Amino acid sequence: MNAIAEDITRMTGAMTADDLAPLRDFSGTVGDFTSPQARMVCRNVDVHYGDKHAIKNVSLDIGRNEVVAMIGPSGCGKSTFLRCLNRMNDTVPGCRVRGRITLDGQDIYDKQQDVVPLRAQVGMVFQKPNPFPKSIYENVAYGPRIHGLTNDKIELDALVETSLRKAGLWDEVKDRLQQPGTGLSGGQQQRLCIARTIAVSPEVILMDEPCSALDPIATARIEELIDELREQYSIAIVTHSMQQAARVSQRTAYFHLGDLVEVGETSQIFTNPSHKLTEDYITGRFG
Amino acid sequence: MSSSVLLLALLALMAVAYYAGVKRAVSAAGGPAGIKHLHSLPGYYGFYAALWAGLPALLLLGLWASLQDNFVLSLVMAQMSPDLVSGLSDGQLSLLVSDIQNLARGNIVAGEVTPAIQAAAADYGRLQDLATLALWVLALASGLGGLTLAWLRIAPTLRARNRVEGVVRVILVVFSSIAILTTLGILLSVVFESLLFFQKVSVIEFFFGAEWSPQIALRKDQVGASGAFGAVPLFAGTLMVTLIAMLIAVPIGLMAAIYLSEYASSQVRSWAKPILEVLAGIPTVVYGFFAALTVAPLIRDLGEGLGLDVSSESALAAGLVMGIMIIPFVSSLSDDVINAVPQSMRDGSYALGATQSETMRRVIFPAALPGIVGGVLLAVSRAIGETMIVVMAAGMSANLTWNPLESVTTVTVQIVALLTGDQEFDSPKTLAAFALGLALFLVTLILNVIALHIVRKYREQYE
Amino acid sequence: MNDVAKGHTVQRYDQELSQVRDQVLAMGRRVVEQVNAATNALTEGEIALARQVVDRERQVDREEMAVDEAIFNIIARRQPAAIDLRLVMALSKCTGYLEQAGDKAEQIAWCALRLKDREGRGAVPRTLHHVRRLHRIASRLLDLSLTALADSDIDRALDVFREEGELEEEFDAAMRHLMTFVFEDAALLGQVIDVVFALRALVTIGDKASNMAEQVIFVAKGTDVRYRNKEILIAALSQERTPSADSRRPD
Repeated sequence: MNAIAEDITRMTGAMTADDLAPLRDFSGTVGDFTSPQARMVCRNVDVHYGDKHAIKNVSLDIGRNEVVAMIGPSGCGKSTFLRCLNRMNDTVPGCRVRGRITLDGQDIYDKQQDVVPLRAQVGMVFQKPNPFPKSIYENVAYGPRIHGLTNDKIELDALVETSLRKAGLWDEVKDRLQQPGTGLSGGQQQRLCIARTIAVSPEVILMDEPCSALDPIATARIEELIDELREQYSIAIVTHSMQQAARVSQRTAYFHLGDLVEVGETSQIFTNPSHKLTEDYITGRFG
Repeated sequence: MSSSVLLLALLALMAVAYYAGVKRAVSAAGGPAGIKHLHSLPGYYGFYAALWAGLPALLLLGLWASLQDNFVLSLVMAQMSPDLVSGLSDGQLSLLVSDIQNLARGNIVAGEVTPAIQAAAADYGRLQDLATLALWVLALASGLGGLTLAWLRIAPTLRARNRVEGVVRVILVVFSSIAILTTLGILLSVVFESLLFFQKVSVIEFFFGAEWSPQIALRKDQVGASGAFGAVPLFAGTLMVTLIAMLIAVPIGLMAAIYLSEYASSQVRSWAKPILEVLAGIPTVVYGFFAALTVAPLIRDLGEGLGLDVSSESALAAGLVMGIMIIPFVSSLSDDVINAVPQSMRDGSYALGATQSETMRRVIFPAALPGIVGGVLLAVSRAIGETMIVVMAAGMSANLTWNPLESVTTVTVQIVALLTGDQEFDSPKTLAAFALGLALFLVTLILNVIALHIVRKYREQYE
Repeated sequence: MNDVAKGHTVQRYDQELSQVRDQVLAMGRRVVEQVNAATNALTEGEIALARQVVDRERQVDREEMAVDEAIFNIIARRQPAAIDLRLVMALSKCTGYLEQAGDKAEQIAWCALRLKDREGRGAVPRTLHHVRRLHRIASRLLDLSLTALADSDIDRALDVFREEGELEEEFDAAMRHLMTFVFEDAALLGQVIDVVFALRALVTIGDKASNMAEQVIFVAKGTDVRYRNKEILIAALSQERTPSADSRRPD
């Protein structure tokens, strides 16, 4: 083993394989998981897929005007957790969610809660751009139509335009709104999906690795867009790119094997994380 | 008999050549350790030798087998005295030839055995034996020659893999062109027979005539010897039966597909899908008598109950049963295209707060529509070409009617009717079958081309 | 996953970090040599040695540039984060401190040369024991901080903070003593000023050693301890570490 690796191991505290695998001495999340202006509040959330305990007692807030990044090695549960926030896990057979998740004080897993309005409030953008095989206009108009948000064509036109403007796509597509959305480039498609999500005026936007299928320039445009959207929405983003988490988020949450190991200000997580696992993951010592 | 023995011998020779080639290659490379210096794996050298040993000899065998008889016969006939042969018609000549052959093989002879024929038969037998012997000698010589040539050529630098793969490629091309050429052959034969038909009956009458009555008198004084070949009633009948079938099959098949692919739990799907596919496995003749013996009487009784006049062989019964037969066809094709719509489309729609039915109606179905249309067109061409059900349930009378409760007939039924029983192969009645077949072929071909085009276009959208 | 403690997944990255640190340590050893040589030149009046120090200063500069380039490359290509980022930043700063210490060694060498020129017979011998004493302290601090850096050893770094106070004490004492020379004989002023320059240079070298110790703490603890009250810091950090492993520290 390299001398510097030894030194760093000594400085950050000795780790053995035992410390990692089941996290036996896991004694709760390091750092403050609350947010002063919390919009979504998750407390003691457990998720099981059949026998698999995918999320273990996770508490995390998503605040107003902030981007919360969720990072962690594959299979750490970050995407599962994200999909709990708009109940996209409902369709997965054998998936059980326990604990309390509220949106503006309202329990989203309450029996009275209908998923249709919930998903209008908590939008989601996926890993692979998935525009519907319809025109650009129809893609954006889809949500407003099914929720009956507009009264006439003029209102709908206006809503489509503002949504596309907010997504930074208007100037690129205003002359070809009737062309299929699938004909756009990957980055444009992803921004179209964001516009589609914005069109139903959500409060929270969930993003599941939104840039993993995009080239660096398209990625930069999406990151810029995320920063702009923060003015109006709460954003939770799952990403495999630690640099991306560092660039776009205000707070970062590190997941490991279903545990939320550490939450903190992004600047602190990336310069001086408190937990050994976070440090190892961020510096590329495993994962 | 002898050529099958020869075939076995050649195969054995190829096996020997294979082992010899492998050995030769390994020893040329300097033992097992030197195999890495060979251009190709030793097995390829084996195949190389086997191909050299077997392929020319097999080609020779094939060629010889197809030409030997004619060649020997022409020799025999040339030796026969001209007065015996001259003045014979084609038919008589072929009778003479078969007499000679039968005599040579010791079979019973139809005609009278004259000394001339006897001599010719002896001649024929002798020449046949000679030819067979020559074949053996030549085939084995070419096999051994090929083996020797391959043996001499095998060296570490020989690009055996490329050669063998080249030959394999040629063989594959030959076999696949057999399938294509067969189709082409069928098409051409139908076209030529149809042309003969259209020489006797005008095209206009065939395609636009409203009366179909193909009976042609064998004797001059027979009643009803008119022979009218207006195919419009057949086309109309086919169209009606197909229409009824699609009216049944498309909604049911589509709904079943939507239910199975979107709504059903995996347990339900696991038993419902195979059951649906069992429908596709039932022989059409079973559907046919089901239609004729169960459904048709049922419809007639029902119609009588309502005070309607229903014929016992109705278009409705045939169409109904044909529709049922096509349901699995439509449903499994639709199921495939609905499943081919990526899960991400559904996720995207659900994430916007759409319900399952909204997602189905507004995203999945429009996305799958081209593929479904393609599937339905394939089903239509299947329905048009369907024979057994309509033969049994639709009837034979060429009625030009819009009433589905009457008996109608279809193109396929008429083809069957025209070609069953004793026939004269050059009468317009028989040839009409080919014209009908041509029309059927063209319609289904066009439908298939359109359907495949649509389906392919649709697939590209997601790949 | 079992090999978590074995360093980066990308082993080349470990090698690069290790290499930069070795470069910095090698540079540190050269600076220590320079300081020792310059002080010897001054106290023993060896002009040749002083010239050598001046010449070798260029090498220190070159080493600094080499380290900077390596660090530049690591930042550009590896985008270090967390402890790696702190290490790289600290190494970059330490190089700067070492370069400044090297400059001071050169300054001492120049003092030695000027003293020789001025008197022809070296400095007043009675003033030189201050230089020796201060040199002893400064070079011990330098040694300690380099060891701390080499072993990433917080205890050694704390030792530097404990001992750095002696620098100013010794310097003040030396100033008081030197003033008496000036009062006695104003003609010695030139010489005394050169000696004071040399003493000040040694104090600066000791300060740089202390700065490097701060960087060692920054790497290990992630907190920037520059401009902090060192006594509180020593108390806090020693207390934190007492339960675990302090068999080697007598106090």
